[in-house]
Amino acid sequence: MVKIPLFKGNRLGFERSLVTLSIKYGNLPSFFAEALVDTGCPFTVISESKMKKTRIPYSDKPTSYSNVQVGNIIMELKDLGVCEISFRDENNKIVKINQQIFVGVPITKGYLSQELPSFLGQDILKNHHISIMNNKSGSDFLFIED
Amino acid sequence: MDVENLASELISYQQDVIFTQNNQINLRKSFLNRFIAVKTGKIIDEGNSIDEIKDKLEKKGIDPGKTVIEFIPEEEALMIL
Repeated sequence: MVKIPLFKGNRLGFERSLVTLSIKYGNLPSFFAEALVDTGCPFTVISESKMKKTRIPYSDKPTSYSNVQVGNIIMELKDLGVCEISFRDENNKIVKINQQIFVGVPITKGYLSQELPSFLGQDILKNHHISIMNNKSGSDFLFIED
Repeated sequence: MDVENLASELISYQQDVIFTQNNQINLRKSFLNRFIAVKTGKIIDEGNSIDEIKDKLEKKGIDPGKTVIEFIPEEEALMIL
């Protein structure tokens, strides 16, 4: 069993459980992001603001879902395909998994993409048998079964 | 990149995310409606867009993909997901 530490952070006005990850797309250099662990979100979605830090040509990617709403913000999900995601476990060892990733591109006029978080969704949790552990000490983890 | 380096870089990135959220009130005084780049607990650049900061960091030899770049808003929208 691998334990990946979560940390608390304010996103969209409330405290949420976040995890730090490194993402590698093809042969391009990896980049870092923090993502909100959201069991209600069907997909793993990286925000456009994180993508803008990279040279990944995400805007050319096909739109898999359009008119997806987060609150009152409408966005489209562009399919980045399968990427390699690296997490740091509690012993500072690196855990790598492959997962399809979508990029959330807001299409609501006037809305700032940088205000939207990234999401670790149901897909990655189910595909890799990851569960969330909220323990009494407040040190929360993602558990990955061997 | 070796695995040990990646782990320490992820820890450093996470600390910069926490630094940015814990210092929002102070950051608003100096960087309201601007973008900032944070590395090892310090503001290393600012700008009007992610692209502007990205260019500045690349010129300094700093990888923007591994740097916390955040917009400092007046206030954050409240949303239940």
